Amino acid sequence: MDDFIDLKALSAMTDAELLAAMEEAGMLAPWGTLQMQAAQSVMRLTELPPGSPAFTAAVNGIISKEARKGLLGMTRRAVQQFTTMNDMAGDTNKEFIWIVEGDDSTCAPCMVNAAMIKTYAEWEASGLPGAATCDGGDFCRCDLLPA
Amino acid sequence: MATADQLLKAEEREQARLDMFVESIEQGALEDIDDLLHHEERRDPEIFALVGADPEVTIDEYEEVPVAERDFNWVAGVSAMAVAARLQVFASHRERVIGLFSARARNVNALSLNREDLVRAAKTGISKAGIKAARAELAAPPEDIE
Repeated sequence: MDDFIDLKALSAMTDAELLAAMEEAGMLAPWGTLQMQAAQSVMRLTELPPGSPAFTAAVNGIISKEARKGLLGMTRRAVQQFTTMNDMAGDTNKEFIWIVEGDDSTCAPCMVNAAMIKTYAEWEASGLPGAATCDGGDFCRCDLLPA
Repeated sequence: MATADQLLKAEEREQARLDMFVESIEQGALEDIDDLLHHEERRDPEIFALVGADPEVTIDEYEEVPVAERDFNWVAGVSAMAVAARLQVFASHRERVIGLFSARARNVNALSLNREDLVRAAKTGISKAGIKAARAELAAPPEDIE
């Protein structure tokens, strides 16, 4: 298949340019969202005195969260949105079907969408996989495929 | 034409590939993020600027700020630094991430299904058991060709 998003062009960018392009394409969450999420952990640090073992432990907790859940969520969203954007190829009226994660842990908002067909514009308005409406956020395993 | 089962298997395989990729970089990522928070030398100033993080201030310097003075700006600064560190580590694996883009586009999105099979796959859904089985397949050494 031809890629709508040019992988060679992405490869030629600097790291910062690549990240900015991915955020603009919705392949990475907006920086403000990422910072708000990080702030939830950082808030704990405000009460911990300088030089205390508790401060070091809390920082280590943030590092661990960023390296584990943070990178996993970021990568999932990037890969999922890349293929959706490619399939859409700029046509927001193109129809997509919601492929649900078919396990007991699937959140209610995603289950409602199972096998539903809408245009990309409609999905964008009601919530893409991993949107704020989804309990899983960036960890959502649901997918949109061209219908 | 692919079947619903083939589509779901392809989905599960690509999700397993992604999970395994992140697990494979996790230990290095822990060390890299730790390094980027505590030292400024390896920081990419352009990435830190993207999210409004000061590339010259370390977590150790933030720690020295008295508790009473840790206000909204302090929280925003530390948060931006943590996000910048994660983004820099993510970008350092860009070739493998772009490889995941290609693999998914080729193995899942390029499959052609009729509407009936597509709806059947969408209703059945991607299963954790299927992802687990795909992980085992991907981790197994290739069989000898006799």
